Amino acid sequence: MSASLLAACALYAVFIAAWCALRLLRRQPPTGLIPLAATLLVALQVLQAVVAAGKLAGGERVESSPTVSGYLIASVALLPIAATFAREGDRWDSAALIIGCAALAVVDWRLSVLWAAG
Amino acid sequence: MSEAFPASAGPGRRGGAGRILALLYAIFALAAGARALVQLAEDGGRAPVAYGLSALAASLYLVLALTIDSPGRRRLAAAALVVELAGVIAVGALSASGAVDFGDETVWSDFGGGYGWLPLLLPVAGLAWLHRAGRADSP
Repeated sequence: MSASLLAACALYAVFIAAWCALRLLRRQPPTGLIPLAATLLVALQVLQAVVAAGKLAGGERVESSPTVSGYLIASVALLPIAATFAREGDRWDSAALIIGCAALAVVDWRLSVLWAAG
Repeated sequence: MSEAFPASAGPGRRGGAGRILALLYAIFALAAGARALVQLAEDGGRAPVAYGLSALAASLYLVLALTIDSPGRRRLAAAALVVELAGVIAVGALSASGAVDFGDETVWSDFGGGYGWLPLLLPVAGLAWLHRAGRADSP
């Protein structure tokens, strides 16, 4: 459940990054459905983090639970942080969201590696 | 690359590329800061130099996240960029040559290779950005 949820989050983040890249290529801000899609991604990440925190609290073994906790916090915080740099209404807003989504995908991938290593 | 630093960014306009650099530095401050905290909390005595360097990198990144896009703080941003560039080159060279064993990985080990070499590329891009922004301010 958790592994597939993580993979879904990462793929979805890459999808939104690609969507924003199309906007950036046209020198446009990420308007229309992109803010809604990004909000949904944050909600997915929160759900994922809650499931993962439950696993940690339930005694699931990981090599370093502080490391996993740090990545979980980052997975929830990254997009809201990137969004604060995407409020000017220009094409650089699209670039900011691409960076946020790409970093988020990396965090999700790192989390999946940490869980698999157990 | 020229596209990232548009010449059209006039004096009054806060250029977009600076905002992107500030976001990258904010993310790196988060990454390096969390890394330093976890490492110091888990076993600070094992490699104090490496963990101290992670903490130093995190504070530089935080300063840069707050200053690189602020026209009034360019001097501080430039100083932080120079320290960062010197740090990543020195730590990268010392760790790659094996001259110094830092005990554990740092953000700057292997010239930042663990972070896609962004720790090496960012200060160069940052200095180029400051140079460009400074010229735009005083034509």
